[in-house]
Amino acid sequence: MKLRFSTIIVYLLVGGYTLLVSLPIVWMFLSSTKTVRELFSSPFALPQEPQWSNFAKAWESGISQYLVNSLIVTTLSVVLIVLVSALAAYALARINFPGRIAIYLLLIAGFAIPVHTVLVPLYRSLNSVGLLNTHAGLILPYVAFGIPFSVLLLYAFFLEFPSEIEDAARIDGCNIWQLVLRVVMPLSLPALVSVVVFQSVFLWNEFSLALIVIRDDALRTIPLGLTKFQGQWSTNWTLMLASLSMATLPVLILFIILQRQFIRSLVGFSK
Amino acid sequence: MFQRFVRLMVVLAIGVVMVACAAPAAAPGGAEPAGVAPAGERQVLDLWFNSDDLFNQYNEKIIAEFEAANPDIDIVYSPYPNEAYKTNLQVAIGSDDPPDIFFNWAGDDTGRYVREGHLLDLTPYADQYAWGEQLSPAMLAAFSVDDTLYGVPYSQEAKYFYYHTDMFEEMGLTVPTTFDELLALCTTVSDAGMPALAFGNQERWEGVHYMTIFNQKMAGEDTLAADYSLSNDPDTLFTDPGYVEAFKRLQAMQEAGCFGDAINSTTPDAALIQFVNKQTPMYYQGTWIMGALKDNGLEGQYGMFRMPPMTDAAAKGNQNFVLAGPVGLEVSNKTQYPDAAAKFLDFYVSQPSQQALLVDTNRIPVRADAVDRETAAPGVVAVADDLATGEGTALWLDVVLENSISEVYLNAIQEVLAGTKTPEEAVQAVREQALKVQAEMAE
Amino acid sequence: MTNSVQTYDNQSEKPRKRRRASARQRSEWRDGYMLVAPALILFVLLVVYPMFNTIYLSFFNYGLTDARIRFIGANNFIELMGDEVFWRALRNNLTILIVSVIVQVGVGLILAALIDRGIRWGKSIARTLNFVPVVMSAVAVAILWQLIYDPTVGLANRFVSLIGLDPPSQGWLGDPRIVIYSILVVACWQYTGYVMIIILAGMQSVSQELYEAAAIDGATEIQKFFSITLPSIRNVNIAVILITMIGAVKVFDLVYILTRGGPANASQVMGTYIYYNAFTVNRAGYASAISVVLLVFALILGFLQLRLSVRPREAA
Repeated sequence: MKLRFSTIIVYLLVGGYTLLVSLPIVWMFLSSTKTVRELFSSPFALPQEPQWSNFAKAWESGISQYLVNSLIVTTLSVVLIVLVSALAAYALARINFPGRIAIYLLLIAGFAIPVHTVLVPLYRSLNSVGLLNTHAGLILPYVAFGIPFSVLLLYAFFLEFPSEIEDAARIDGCNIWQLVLRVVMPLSLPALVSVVVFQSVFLWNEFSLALIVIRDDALRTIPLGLTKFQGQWSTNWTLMLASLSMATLPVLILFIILQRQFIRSLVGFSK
Repeated sequence: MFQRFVRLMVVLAIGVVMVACAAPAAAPGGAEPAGVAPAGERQVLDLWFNSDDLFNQYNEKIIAEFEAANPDIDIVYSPYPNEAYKTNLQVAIGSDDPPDIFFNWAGDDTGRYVREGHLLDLTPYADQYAWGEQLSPAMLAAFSVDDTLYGVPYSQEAKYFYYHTDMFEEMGLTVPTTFDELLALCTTVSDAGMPALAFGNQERWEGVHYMTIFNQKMAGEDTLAADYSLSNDPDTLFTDPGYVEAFKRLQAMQEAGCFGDAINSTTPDAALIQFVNKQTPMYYQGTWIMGALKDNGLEGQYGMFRMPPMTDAAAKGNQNFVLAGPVGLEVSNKTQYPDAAAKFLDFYVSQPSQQALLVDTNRIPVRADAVDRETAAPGVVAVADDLATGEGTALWLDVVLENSISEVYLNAIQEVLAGTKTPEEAVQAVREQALKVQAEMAE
Repeated sequence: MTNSVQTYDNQSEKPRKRRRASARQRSEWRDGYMLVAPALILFVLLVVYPMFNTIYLSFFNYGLTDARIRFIGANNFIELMGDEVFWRALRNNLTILIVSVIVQVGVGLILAALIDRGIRWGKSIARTLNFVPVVMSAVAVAILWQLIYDPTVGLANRFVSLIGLDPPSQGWLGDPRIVIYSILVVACWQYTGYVMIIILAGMQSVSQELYEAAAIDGATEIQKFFSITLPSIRNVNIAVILITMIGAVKVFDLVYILTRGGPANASQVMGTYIYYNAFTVNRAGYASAISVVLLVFALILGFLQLRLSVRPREAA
């Protein structure tokens, strides 16, 4: 009996806390389909008649463009991050060349550098090469700042890569590029997926750099676009919440599908 | 040397990656034509505006008309919400690719860009298009530094108390003729269970408007002129007791129940909604809200009055000043097409555009021939008449003052309203920053 | 060190010379450099060089829109020492750091323990739901909470009234005295799930046999938690504490969107104060000086994390 009772308490604690954490998000999705009047009169009731027009309006007001921009920037950045990080991590883990420890430490230490400390010089550099207010001006720093974490994670993975496969590939006449790109990387898919998922979520949500690099409305990524609505719809809550919901859905779906990989990347990161 | 080397390296490295990124980078509008444009090619002008949805409709209409009349010129329009505008503009002005034409306030917001050398001298175009004969000379002067014109004003904005006439009637209120009567009115309304005024000071500029007129009324316009321009002696800079008094008037309003709770976390938009929904009988706000009032079906149902005069001996300023300031368009001196930009400015302040401005948005035009008393909204006519009776203009404090001093002022006002700073401490903070800037400018 | 490298080393019979490397070795070195080059170049150009540039610029007085750039020695740093707002920003970062470590790690740990050993059904649902805020963008989270904190109609006011308390009269985000705690609530709401998930993963790798042995000895669950779970996941705990600390030093998005550092600089943190100086009041040199301070803190924490993450692996 006593055990049962404590189990109920534990369920209540976990359930209650989880409910509390979920409430704002539930409220966000629920409210985004209501009228403003409903939103205030009964915040947690189901909408009487779902107002899908909120989504349509938000979609037309720029969300669609921002989603496309975020998709372009995130995809290109992540592909580049994975590529350059895998090459580097492989070399650092498997090839003994002078200076590799120093390079490894340098790359890893970069993880600690907050992007805010280099906003001004980055702004100046990007301006001087004409990349301010372009997607490339966003992608390049994204890749550079994504390298430390990705190298760290892939390095650990490549350390344990079976050398027999490498040797076999070499005997078959693979050069180093073929070895890494055609043999090692395909066989390291789980690690690469972890990097992809982690970086995708991170870059999809990135705001600070986008804030100084992008200024054309047509080039805004999702977080930057949301700030526009923050100014525009500060009193039009249902539209605001519809935009927030639409901005959140893609990562939410990605996360639910790839939950395992995502969690593994986080765990690898904390070891 | 090192810098140049690094820059070269950046270009090289970027070149490699650029191939991958080229497609999205060059995608949507605003991309400039490469190199020098031969005659007859399309001229693309970036236009930045501090604007809301309502005003955007007007701007887009004018732009469409202009483009139709000038098929070789493309205007790429970028509106920004008020709060983000100043920072966004500054960040863009600092880059090699600033907007060609942009909204700006008069005062030091213009002055600093003149000092830093970012603005195109518009004087030749003023002669070419005879702006001096068409637009209000006072407002053109507000955009001039040392007899050189740097901006073209398109509207005069002024600050008034707006009140619901029906609520005033129900509650038995009359328009206050002195500041003390205003305080008494606040107490009456507050006793009836609602704040007298909507007040959204989250973005800090609503508070600074109160302080602008209080400073003028208490310290007096001559003192302000010397202090705001930092030309006053360091020993007496911002030491006039009127500044502390001004803060105390703001506190007096708060104590009399003029404002509700949570003013520092209420946005101006939310405050406007409170007023529109008649949750408060009054709102102290700029003439730019008259378009929104009309949109909310309140045309003809509200009255307006200026901040009433102070009657006590401590008030050293002329009590018949209006709180107002022009807004205008300026041109970057980095623009490729100065002639086209000037052409647009002229179109923007032409009689038809100005008349449309008044009709569509209820804003106050800068040319007298745009106001048709028969058709104009009553509020607009009232403002136009009232502005003519003012004996002087107090220009928005945050726009007149050097940027960093105005930041200190904006923050100090929030602190006084929150009760975390006394008026004396607030003025002291302003004085310290002013002394610092004065010393830096002297270098 | 690694298998492949050893193979090559074994093949060369001569003891390694310092200066001359064999042709094979050199070709291998070349491979190594070639593979590292893209990452290294990008990293150096876009992270390392800007970092040194920041340090360099911190000795100058200039603004983004101001072409005049003047060397002023350590004046920016001297001014920093007397800048009340800078100290407030630093203090806010510290407050966020301490509260985040206590709340996020504390709650995360308890929650993980309850989910790991306290419940049987709904483990993965509880885990997923608690984790959802983590994947949301901080911008979306901040805007959402701005609505929740709305002084007139927000959910926070309703909630507080429901349990019989008075909502703060100046608003959750309008009162300089409480604003940083209002922001902290959001930060903890968003990131506790993150801490929980890492700890949970650590707990799941604790050997079940230990628990079974303890059960035979008649240990209660709470005793097991302190005698088995906690010691086994010590390294994980240290790691999440460090990650939480780094997050607290880097905080920007939440504060920027919720308050812009206001009211009256009350919620300014170093990240937002850098942005404010560089991009709002046009004092990029001063912003660089603040960046240097932030950099020092970040590098210290990064160094600790590096020691923690690299050491055991190199030893292994």
